[in-house]
Amino acid sequence: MTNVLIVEDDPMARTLFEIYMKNSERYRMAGAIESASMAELYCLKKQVDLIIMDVCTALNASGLDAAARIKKNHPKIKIIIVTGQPECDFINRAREAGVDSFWYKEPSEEVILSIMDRTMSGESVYPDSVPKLKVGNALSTEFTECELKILRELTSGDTDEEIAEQLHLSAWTVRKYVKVMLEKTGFKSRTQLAVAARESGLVIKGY
Amino acid sequence: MTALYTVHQNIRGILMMLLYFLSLIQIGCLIASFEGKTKYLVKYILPVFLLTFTELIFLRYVNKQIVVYGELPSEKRWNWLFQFPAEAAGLMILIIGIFTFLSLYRILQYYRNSITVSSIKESIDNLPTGLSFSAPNGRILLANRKMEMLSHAVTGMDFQDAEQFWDILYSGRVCKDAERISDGNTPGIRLSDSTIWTFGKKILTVENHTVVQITAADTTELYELSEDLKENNRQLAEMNNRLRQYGENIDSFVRSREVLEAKMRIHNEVGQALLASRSYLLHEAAPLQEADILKRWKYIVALLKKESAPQDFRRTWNYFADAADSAGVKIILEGELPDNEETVKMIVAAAAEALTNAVRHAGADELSIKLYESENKLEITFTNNGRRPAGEITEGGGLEALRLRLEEAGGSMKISARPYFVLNITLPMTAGGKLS
Repeated sequence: MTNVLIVEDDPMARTLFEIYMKNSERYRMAGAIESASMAELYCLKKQVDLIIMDVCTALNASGLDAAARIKKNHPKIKIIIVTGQPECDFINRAREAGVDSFWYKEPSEEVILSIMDRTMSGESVYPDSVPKLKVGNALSTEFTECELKILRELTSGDTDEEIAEQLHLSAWTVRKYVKVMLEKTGFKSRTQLAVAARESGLVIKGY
Repeated sequence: MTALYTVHQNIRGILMMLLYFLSLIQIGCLIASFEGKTKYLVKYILPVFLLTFTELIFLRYVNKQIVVYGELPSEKRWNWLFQFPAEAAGLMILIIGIFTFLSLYRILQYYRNSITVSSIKESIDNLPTGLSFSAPNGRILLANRKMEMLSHAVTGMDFQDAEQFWDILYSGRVCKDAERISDGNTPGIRLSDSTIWTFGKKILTVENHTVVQITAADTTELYELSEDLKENNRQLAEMNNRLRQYGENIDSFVRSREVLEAKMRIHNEVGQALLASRSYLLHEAAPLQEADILKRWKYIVALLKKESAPQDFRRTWNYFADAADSAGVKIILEGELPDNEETVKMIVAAAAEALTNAVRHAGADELSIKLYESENKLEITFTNNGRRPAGEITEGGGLEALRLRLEEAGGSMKISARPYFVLNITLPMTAGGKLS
């Protein structure tokens, strides 16, 4: 039996996972918590073999940060990050943190269970690509890495100068990138661009 | 020669006067055009000497004697000078006369094109801006028409004392038709005709004298533009703020989308369960499926039960307390948790960090949290019942991240390892409020 810890602040998603566990004879719920900030503590006190964790969890705790810490202190525990957000940076950060598998949320029991099985047998399962989505007239794949970085900061409502300082660029460069992105997406204002980008989940700041 | 000699005495007198005036004008030209430049010295002194000589020769013929020097020089070598024909001397006077008038004309041109007291006054009167120069005691040295008009419009008085005028501008005691709209070192005044004037004062040093310069510029358009800009910036800041709030709330939108997807799945489950039940009731299915169908319905009921329960009734604190409880760690809380959700989030982040460290490094199973308020600050102390630390504690990734987060919110963090581990944090009473 594999002991599974669910880190998910959405009660509906948690219940779904609970049902999958009950249906399966190979997995057993070790616990379900809402915030990633408590995940490591749980691993210290209880027997946990596999963690299924969201990125954006309660108390604004990042599942990716928690995963990195757990992988460092408890390398034997397998971790699957399951997120509903298509933020392209999440997948890269998950790889860097040593997360075993990464999948996008979907309400299909078979897929989730098969990923869990493959992960437990030592395989690392990652999606081939991030989900493609449209931001205005542009496809998410049309954005360059640098543009995405600026877009990510843009969603927090910072000014060009603040963004420039954070990314160690000049305000002029930031304005230039924003202009290019406005042309790509066809939006009229940076606010429109920021709202659309945030809403689509292409960029998420703070996790 | 003889012809000149017989010239009428009156004509001779007129010629004499002409010569006299010519020489005076020439000397005048010399002085006026001198202007401290040595090249003028050469240019004008030479003609004056020539003029004087030719006059002497001319007079010699007219009066048959030398008027100025009396006796004719006895040496023969000077005689040629006085043997010039009178016509030649007259021609010389004519040339020099023309030259003199040309010089005069040039001097006139020079005065017309160069700066004089009156030309300065005239030109500054035509300036669209107000300008005045005064002594440090306020005595006006020079002021233009615009400044005089502004003085009337702003103070209701003549422009007599620049210092007094500036005091009125600076203190804002302007007359009732005018209104001061900005203060400081460049006061702005709105006049009754709704134009806006910005005044400036500057201390200048001119040839070791202190001169106070007061300027006034029509900034109506500039002011309107800057008001527009202020309004635009305000709207922009508001929009940015809304964007920030939106960013905070978007997660719940995304979550609702996920909930919707999950609901669709439940819907499918219900549909499948109904199909299975129908076939069971119609005796199409094998009896073995009975338990399976019952299991399905049980799950659906469980799902629906969860869904019907309000999702956000749990307070932030419970996320932490429940997780600690289910992990088998005891939390002892002393003091009141603040109402502000952001502050509680911060406390819980620190508590999670303290608890994880206490369990990992000290094998603790109890965390004490003491909260007390002091001077608009909230102080929180975390202690545990684990083993005492063996040495100094180095701040790892978790504690370091926590410190950054606290300091960003205006709080602070302190760790002591002796005699037992204590984590002490302070938070401003309105801490962390990104959503202020």
